[in-house]
Amino acid sequence: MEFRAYIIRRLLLLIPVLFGVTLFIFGITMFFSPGQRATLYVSSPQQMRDLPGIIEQYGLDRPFFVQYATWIGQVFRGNLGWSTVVSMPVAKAILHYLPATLELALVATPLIILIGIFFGTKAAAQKDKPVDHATRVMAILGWSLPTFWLGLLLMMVFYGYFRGFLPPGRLSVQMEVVVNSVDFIRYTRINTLDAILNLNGPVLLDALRHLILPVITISTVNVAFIMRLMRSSMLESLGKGYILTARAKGLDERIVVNKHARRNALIPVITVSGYLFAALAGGAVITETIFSFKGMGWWASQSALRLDIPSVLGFALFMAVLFVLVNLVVDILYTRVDPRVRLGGGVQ
Amino acid sequence: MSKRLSKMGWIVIIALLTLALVAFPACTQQGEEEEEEEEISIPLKNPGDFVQQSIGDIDSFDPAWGYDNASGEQVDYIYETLVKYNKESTTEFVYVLATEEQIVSTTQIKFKIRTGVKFQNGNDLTPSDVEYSFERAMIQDRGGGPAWMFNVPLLGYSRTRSAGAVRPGIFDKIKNAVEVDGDWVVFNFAIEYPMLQWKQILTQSWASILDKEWCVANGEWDGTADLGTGNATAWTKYNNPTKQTTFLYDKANGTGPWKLDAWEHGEYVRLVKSDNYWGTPVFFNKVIYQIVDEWTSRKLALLNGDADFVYVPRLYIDELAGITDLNAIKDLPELSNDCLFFNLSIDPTSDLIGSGELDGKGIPVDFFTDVDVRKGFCYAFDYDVYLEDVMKGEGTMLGSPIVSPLAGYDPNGKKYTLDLAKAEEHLKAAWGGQVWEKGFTFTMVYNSGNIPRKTACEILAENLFGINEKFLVSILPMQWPTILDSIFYVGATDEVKGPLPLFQIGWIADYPDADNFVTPFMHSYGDFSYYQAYGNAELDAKIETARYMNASPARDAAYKELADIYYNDAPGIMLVQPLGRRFFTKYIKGFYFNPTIPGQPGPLDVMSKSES
Repeated sequence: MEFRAYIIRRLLLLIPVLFGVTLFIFGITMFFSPGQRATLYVSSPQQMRDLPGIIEQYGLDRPFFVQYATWIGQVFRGNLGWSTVVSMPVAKAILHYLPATLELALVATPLIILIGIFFGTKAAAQKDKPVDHATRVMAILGWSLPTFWLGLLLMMVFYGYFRGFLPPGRLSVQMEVVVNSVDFIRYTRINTLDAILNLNGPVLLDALRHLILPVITISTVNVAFIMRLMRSSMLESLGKGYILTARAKGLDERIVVNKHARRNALIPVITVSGYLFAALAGGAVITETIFSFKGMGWWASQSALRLDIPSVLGFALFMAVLFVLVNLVVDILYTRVDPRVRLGGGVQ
Repeated sequence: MSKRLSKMGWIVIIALLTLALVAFPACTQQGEEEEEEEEISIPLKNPGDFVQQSIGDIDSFDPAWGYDNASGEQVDYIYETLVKYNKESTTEFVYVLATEEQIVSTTQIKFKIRTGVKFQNGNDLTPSDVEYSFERAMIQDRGGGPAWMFNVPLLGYSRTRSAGAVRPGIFDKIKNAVEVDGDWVVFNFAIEYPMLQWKQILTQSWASILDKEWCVANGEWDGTADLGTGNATAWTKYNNPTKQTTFLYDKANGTGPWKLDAWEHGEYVRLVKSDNYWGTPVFFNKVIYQIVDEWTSRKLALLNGDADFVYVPRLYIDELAGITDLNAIKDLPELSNDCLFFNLSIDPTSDLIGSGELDGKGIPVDFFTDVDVRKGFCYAFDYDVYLEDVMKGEGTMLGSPIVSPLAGYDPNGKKYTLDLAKAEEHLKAAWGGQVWEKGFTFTMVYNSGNIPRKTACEILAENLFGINEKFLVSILPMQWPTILDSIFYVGATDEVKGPLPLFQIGWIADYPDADNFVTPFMHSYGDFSYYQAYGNAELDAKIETARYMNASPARDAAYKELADIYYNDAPGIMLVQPLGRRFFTKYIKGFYFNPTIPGQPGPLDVMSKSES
């Protein structure tokens, strides 16, 4: 009951947060001319012909708050404007490109977190030993490798040197035809998930082959970060009095490290992991471009390059909502991981 | 101390090991590539399909709209025309949807329409479909589109609009221009027009034949003026529409060998073999066009056999040298050119002109009306570097739009060369000295992934900055359809053009005649010049006079005069007439080259793919 109340309270808190975010995003549009802002209200190509009519209809020369109310009304109706980059409504573009990015994020995020936590824990437990040094070097390398360089290198090796072993794109030509056939139902447009739901092994294998290199590329940098964060957090935990007590009680060192120290050390990692997932779900521009894995990052970058205002604002709004929701999930996870975080009033 | 050294030692050893692990495969590959370059074995993949990877998305599948390579290529695979070129020839034709022709007079030609042909939806081809296709193209006549080639001979005007309004009586002229006469379709010209040129126009994608019944059923123009409303001007809603409002923008139904199966914007187009195709069966089951901006991906796809043909920027052609499993076709004599165009009347709402004032933070909308600005820019471009480094020496720099070997082309004609002193002299004189004193800022764009065009922008921007540090030009990549939308701006009027201050685009011959290079670049209603606000009545008269002259020294002289005018007016920075290249895997057979279609991988209807 207490937990449900907490969720409801947090959801209610989202309203003022989203109000502030949308106010800010809409405020940015005021820097553009009424004609450019009119494109925010366009939902079909036909309407592009009558921008003056839209300016009049939506009162784009009226006071800011009146315009804001009109715009937010449109947003609630799902009309985020027209994306000239991909010739479709922005809301549809988000739904179109999100699955590719989500697929990348859903595979990469757990990988990043698990590897980061595992090696971060090992490094802290064996501080100044070879494992610690090795993870430190791995972290430095991972952190310092430019994504575009690593992506191209991986592609040259695993697609070039190993002759097409791990290709770019999302699916091969043959499998693209299969997933677009009437026999294959695209429940989510996440290829791996759809392949499982359709019990289609070849599509699943093909989708996984195409996923591996982009996942490795975006994971390399982020694993390094999580690893270092986990290590320092673990070292702090291992220095606490209750760890000394646990050891003094003669507990097995593995239990001390994995149960007592690691659980407390996870809090900052959970925080960062939440934002990491949100950031990845917003698209990895360079990775998506190099591997022709066209998702949110590719769409957003193309929109920015083309000064496609409705798309850029739609993307910004999507990211804002995503971050707010992820923040909520992270806060809920805190209550599960750290008993000191009370549902009513934070840390007591 | 020894413990510290031990730590450092570990770090160094692990670092070296990790680096070696990362670097080894790359080094191995590099080394082996150099040694075994010619031994790369490309596997045969997707044996029944043709896979192409390139950089630009399709602009539209509407034959009356598409006027760019990428669109025209796809339209050609789906639709058919009355006649087409006989292989490499540009003067001999073979019949496709026509079976016979009769030149009735200097102003009338008629074609007998083939029977037994079905559209991809199963409808039969009729002469009415042919009449409708041409009339619809003229009714649509979108700004910057190909309909002018029909308009000029059939209506006597370049455009159906004048001074921002539809010309009075133009609907009746359109209806009378193409008529059905039994099994024949008659073209009635408004002027005497060279029949060879007309047939050359009929070979290309804009002359594709549509299924009238299907078009009308899906909301396209119904063939009447009033559209059943009683209002005689109701048809004008189909004139100069926005791109996506035409039903045929992303739908297709032709008589050609392949039909449209899927178009994922920015990702790929997939065509599949049509069961209703009447002609000689084609080899490829699927024709796939994938948009891959990254060169390394395209290159590896070609070398792995995942693509049969890729767009290769000239800068990277050396990377494919000596690979025996590739079929590299070189030195193809393209009838095309590339140019940087000055916009003399920029849209005031443009985001690319900074403050919109001559205050050092922008440029005014009429910045390029001053010929000294234009000439200053022309002299600031390094043509030699462009030709040698960007084009790898494969082409000829031009002084005017006219390319070799057409009338008026003179290899020794006037051309701009890099001359920074002259550039400075002109830029100091421009706008009464204000340009030099205050400087300027604006943005140039190029189509994303097109390295030569990006480099051309960089060459110009750097040289201008070198002349005066107040001359700031930034460079912005855009997707191909956006560039086209911005050049051929739907909101353009006779007075105000699109938002791009300076744009770069190439021109490929619609038909192999000097007129096809002069009209688009210099006529008031030219495809480019209209969107530059360049041209005047006197110049139009000279162009039209030269157009209708018979091949003769006088015609050659007339075009040479026009080339000189272009040089003196400098409405653009003329770049190069390139020599073409194609890179296929060795499995692709049957390619031949026709210079009027240089951007396409080739005649896929007669090409095949096999080990042998």
